[in-house]
Amino acid sequence: MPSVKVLYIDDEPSNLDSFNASFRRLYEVFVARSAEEGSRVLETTPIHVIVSDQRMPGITGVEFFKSIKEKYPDPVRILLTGYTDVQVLADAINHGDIYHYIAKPWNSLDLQQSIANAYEAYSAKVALKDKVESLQRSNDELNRFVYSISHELRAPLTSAKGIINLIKLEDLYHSSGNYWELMESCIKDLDDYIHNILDYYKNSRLDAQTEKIDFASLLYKLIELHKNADPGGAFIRFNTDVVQEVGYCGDKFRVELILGNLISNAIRYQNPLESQQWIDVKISVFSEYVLISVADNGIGIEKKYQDRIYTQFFRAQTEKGTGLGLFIVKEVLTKLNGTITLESEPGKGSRFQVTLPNNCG
Amino acid sequence: MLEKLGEPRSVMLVDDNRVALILSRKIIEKARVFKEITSFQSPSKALRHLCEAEQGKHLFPDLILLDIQMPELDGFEFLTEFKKFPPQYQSFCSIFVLTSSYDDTDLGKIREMGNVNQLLEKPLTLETFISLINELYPAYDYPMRNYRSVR
Repeated sequence: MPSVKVLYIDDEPSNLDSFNASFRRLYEVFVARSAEEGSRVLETTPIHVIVSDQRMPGITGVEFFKSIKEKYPDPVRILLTGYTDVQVLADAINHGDIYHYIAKPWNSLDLQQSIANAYEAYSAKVALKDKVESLQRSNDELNRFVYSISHELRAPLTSAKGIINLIKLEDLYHSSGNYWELMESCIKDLDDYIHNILDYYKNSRLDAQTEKIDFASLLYKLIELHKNADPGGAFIRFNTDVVQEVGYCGDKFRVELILGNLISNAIRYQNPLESQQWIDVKISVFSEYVLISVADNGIGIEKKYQDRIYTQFFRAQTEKGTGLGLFIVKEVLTKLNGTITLESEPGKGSRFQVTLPNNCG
Repeated sequence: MLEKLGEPRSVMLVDDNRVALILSRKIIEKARVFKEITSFQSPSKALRHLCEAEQGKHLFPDLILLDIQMPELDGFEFLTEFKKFPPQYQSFCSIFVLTSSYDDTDLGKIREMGNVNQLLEKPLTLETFISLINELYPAYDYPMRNYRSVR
């Protein structure tokens, strides 16, 4: 065993002597005759295990442990006591102030076993803390990486979009067969992908925030946005029905993510053979929750795929989409305690229904 | 003493990216409203140009389109420096920030700066630019005024 640093606090000098005699060959032993002396040792030495007597003049062992818990959370604490203070002991154990107690007079074998266990607990605690810290660090690095990469990718991508805009303005869009159109669709795919990745990271990184949401204006904004982003958007008839007689409070960024993804999917997976493509969006706000339904007469989703659509990178249609949209929706719903259900028939259409809790109350 | 003019005169573009700069310039040329377009890949050179303009060596721009993420001197530093110009220049010149960022953390920072009119998404489109000009110069009449893009 590596050098284990044990601090023993007891106001009786004879106890300190016998502790020293029993354990100085096993551990690096520090002894203190009072709580103050013990605190001074803690200030200068990284102690692993503290053994303290309960009955000392001025302060009890439990009180001492409580007093140092904040400043020195790592050392594992063992209390020595007679059977008289059962209530105090129970409280201290329940509050996590002490790890173990030993009845007095102690027997050196028991105490040795306790110290060994305590040291093991100490090591596990410290190892876990290190692990959590290093995970936190690599998670932060990953987030920063994703953000900067996405920004760096977006800058040239917006320039490429700008070039396509100029080509349209100068009437050159149809000058090379459908090459420019193909180029534009590649750019849109890449841009969608970057949006999705950023959305995913934002969802996992940001804490949920509650604010008032007006569904009618949010829905109008999102429909405009996605209709204009898709070349087929102009041909689709949108029917909206928003009933919001009570206020709704929720996380605007995430609600927008869910609704936006459902709308853009409904646009993307329209049936090209359908003469009148439509999308129905119904939103009903109740005091406890909101019910959102997005239905379309698009291509639909085959039964065998319906369970898998929320899986990362899964696409029921190989050609279209990033395979991240519904995966993100599901992740967001988990975070917000919401639910999603799907009814769909290939060739007829799909209906997604989402419920989200209303946090106004 | 400078006063906000009834018609657009000079516009300044600041963006460290060469292609982005060319694209913004093309859009502005197509609107045919500005007599002069100056463009700078280096924000510090742009600031120097403004100092010289203050001394009367150039036209002081009535509009600046500024990129926010630049390595040498970023948009925020540029905006801080711009605040050092006399108040009449500040009110004469409108600043718009162009961004390709899909992150709205910059948005709050830009609002705090207090001297930015609006945040515009890249790429700048002719439609956006024209509605911006119509807003800034409500009485100004020019051929492209009623332009709407056909989607």
